[in-house]
Amino acid sequence: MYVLVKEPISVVAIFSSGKIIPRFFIWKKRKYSIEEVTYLWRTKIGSVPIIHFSVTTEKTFYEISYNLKSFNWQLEKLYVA
Amino acid sequence: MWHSSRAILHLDMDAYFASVEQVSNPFIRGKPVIITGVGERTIVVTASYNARKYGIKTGMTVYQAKRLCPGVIRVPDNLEKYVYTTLKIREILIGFTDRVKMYSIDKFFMDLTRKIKKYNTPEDMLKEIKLRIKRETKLKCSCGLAPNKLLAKLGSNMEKPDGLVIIYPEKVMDILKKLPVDKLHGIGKSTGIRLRQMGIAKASDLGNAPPDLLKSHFGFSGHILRLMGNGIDNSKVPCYWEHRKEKSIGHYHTLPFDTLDMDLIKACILMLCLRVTTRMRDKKRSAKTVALTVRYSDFTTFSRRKTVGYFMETMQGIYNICLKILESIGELTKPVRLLGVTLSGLAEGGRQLYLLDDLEKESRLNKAISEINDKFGDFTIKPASILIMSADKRFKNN
Repeated sequence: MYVLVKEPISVVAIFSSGKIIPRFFIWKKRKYSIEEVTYLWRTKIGSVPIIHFSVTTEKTFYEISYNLKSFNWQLEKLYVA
Repeated sequence: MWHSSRAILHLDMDAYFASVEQVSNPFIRGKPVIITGVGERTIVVTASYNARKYGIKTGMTVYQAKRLCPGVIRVPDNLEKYVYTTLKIREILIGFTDRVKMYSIDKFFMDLTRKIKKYNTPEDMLKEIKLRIKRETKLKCSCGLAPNKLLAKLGSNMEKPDGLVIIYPEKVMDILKKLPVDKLHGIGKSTGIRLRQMGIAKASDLGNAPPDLLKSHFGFSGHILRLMGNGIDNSKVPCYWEHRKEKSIGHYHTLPFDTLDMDLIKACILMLCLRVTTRMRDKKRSAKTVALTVRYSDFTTFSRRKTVGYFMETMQGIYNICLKILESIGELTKPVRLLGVTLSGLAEGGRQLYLLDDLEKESRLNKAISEINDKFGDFTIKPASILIMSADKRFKNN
């Protein structure tokens, strides 16, 4: 089941050669290590570009997004098996 | 070797939306997955091949799908993600030829006539295209190569998933002799039934049917049907930068519950008017005809249209026409399930100067609202009467 979250998160990411690679995020004071970025796509809210990442941790799937104007990260949703 | 004057490829992404979600989320790979809209009353948009094994098909309600496979995983659709992926696939295809036409979000036509001769065999080129898509998106597709679009589409449907079918020109007639007439792309269920009643069962029967007989039943379309029966389709694949102008702009919305509440129905129509007007403005068009579609709870559906003697570009003008149509329908006999607003009779140039001050003001206001919504996102500014929808708890729960 997919659960909508839409909450701000802190992310540690590598910015290299025009690419953004999220490595782990902190949500509700807990650290989640990202094992794999499985998908990436871009959207816009009005004129603001947003990059979306599908990521997996050891046990769960998450969708996180990065606002290229405000530089804020957000946990969009997660999958509970 | 390829001996035909044209080499047309039809490329169909396999269970597209479901495959994108399965590539995104490794935890649902290999499992029955359905892509749906939001809310409990929505329908199955796409089913993964594992879900199809249980009999789940596009268009079923979520309830029907869950009855067939209680463990099916439901994924709410994410159109922006699929559009982004489609554009990525389109870029890959443009790397092979300029003659790429996006037929729908998951289907493409390509004219490979000039390019295919560079490869030893047509299979080599098709395998390279499939491989490139697989490598860059991890998605599979089914391909059909043939001398024209009609036969290429037929070919791509012959082997799924991950199919590769080549219809060589010398094999066309053999295929048409065995092919049920309603398997030809463009022949729908009702035309298929009419043809069968006329004794036309196979595609080749259609090709051999007397032209006058077809003309008497189908008018000018009879001529096109006969060409189709002979496997003839001369339509071209344009270059990817050649855009055909849209003939209509429409939006539909399934309400989260059936209702006879006129305030809610009008709010929903207003929201649809805002959506179509925004799209029309983006395309710098204006419209003469407005159609309102109503679907009742028992799925009875009808549309009523109204054409005015001038081109409309404001949401209020379009909404007023919708209200007139709604009035002309009279009392709604059953609770409403779905509403739709479609604009047609489109003309170039959205901006016109109005002689009346009020209209000119409204036009400027709409432009300003559009610019704010473009910058900050859809529905940043919206008519207050739409708020009735978000204030209703039943809407909030969906």
